Amino acid sequence: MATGDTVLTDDSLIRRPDGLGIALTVPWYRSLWLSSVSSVAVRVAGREIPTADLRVELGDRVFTVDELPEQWDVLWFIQDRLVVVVPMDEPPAAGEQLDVEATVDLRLPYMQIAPMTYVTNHATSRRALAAR
Amino acid sequence: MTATAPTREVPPAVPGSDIALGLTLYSLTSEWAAGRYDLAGLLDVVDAAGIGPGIEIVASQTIRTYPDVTPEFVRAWRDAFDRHGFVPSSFGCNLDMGRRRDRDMTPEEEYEFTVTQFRSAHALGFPLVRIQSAAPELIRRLLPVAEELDLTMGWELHAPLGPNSPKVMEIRETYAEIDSPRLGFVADFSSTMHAMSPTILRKLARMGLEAQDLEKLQEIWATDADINARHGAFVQYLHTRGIAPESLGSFARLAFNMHGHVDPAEWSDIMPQIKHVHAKFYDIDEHGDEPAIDYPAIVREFVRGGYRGFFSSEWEGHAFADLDEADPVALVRAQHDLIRRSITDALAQEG
Repeated sequence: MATGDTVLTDDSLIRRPDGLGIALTVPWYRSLWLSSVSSVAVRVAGREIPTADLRVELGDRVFTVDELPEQWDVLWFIQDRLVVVVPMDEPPAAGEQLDVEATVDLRLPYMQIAPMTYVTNHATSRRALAAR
Repeated sequence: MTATAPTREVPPAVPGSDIALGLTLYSLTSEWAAGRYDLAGLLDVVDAAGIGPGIEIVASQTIRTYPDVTPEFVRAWRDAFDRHGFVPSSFGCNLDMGRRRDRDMTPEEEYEFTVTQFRSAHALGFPLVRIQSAAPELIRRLLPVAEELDLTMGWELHAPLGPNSPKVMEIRETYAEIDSPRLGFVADFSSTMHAMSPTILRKLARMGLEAQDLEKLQEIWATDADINARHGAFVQYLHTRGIAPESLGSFARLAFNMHGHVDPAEWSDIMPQIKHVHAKFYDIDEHGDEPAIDYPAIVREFVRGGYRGFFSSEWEGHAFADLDEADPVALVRAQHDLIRRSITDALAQEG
């Protein structure tokens, strides 16, 4: 995967007590304000997870997907991972393989086309990964 | 902030030349994003490979506290530069006008956001800031700050534009009106490519395009229509072939956006205003040449035009290649050899 379409990496799946953490890489060459994230969507084992069920963690800060567009003062540094937490009744076992798809839509805040209109980037990764 | 350290002597790329070498850390975007190195580790790699001494950054990529820098960051940066004998070349500013979703930045916010980056650039010892907006009012307001901080402002001239494109002509007029030696251009060689890079063609082939589709793409690319018209023509062609343009992601458009085919001779039209160079490249072939960018011809223009400054190597193959598909460090080293060879040949011709 190249700079603009890398979302998932080999170590993206993290076991959580209450489900699954999916660590996302910013699919762009620079850090972006969290407000640049227009949407985040994930499918686990083919099942689309309702957006309202997702929590998004950046370091020790936690947001809902809907709260992201307001976070114009929080930088998603390119080396940091945005962890999307998917609630699951039975969290995966260590090493368990899961088919995961993550989609991130970005609005690039420095590439203005017209007032209030910016270049976007749509990035999707689908991979079978082991939970760690 | 403490006073800027005395400027370090920058060795020329080859004896007798006014061109110096270095790279932008952007060339290692994939490795950086993957977390392979911290900044100190990345600079160690650059030193070990001998691909300095000029170091350029995209601030929003390199600095965790962007657009600010912390005193700790400045200290660590200066220590590393002293240790390696590196020289800061260009600080890439961004203007994040759409940072908020409810409205665009006001002119006041644009000014403040840019000034913050100018101060960061100065603290890190950069002599030049790459700017993205050359709006006359903004430029006029920033000029006294650039003077205070001893910075040159370079608007990046990048594909699909060239030195004589209408938008660039407007900026040249603004520059002529203001008439300050602190205003100029960062010349990016993506403007003057003679072919599409094999790297993007390989990526598009992997995404499903066949040889005939790639031929058609290159044919449309080589025409003089503007980017929207060429992109439109290609999308139309894809439909006739039953290929959904979406299946190529953003790459079909990037092909036109990132590769321009302006004549390298046009650089001479603005040579005194070129303050810094992005020595863009995508690949180096088995002969040591860049397959889509005619380095000997471009370098000849710069030598003949008396350019003094850095050629900052910018490997952008990571936009199309996967992590570990290529070795950016080895590629930059090979490209430095190509630049040195081209300068030597150009100097011999001049002499």
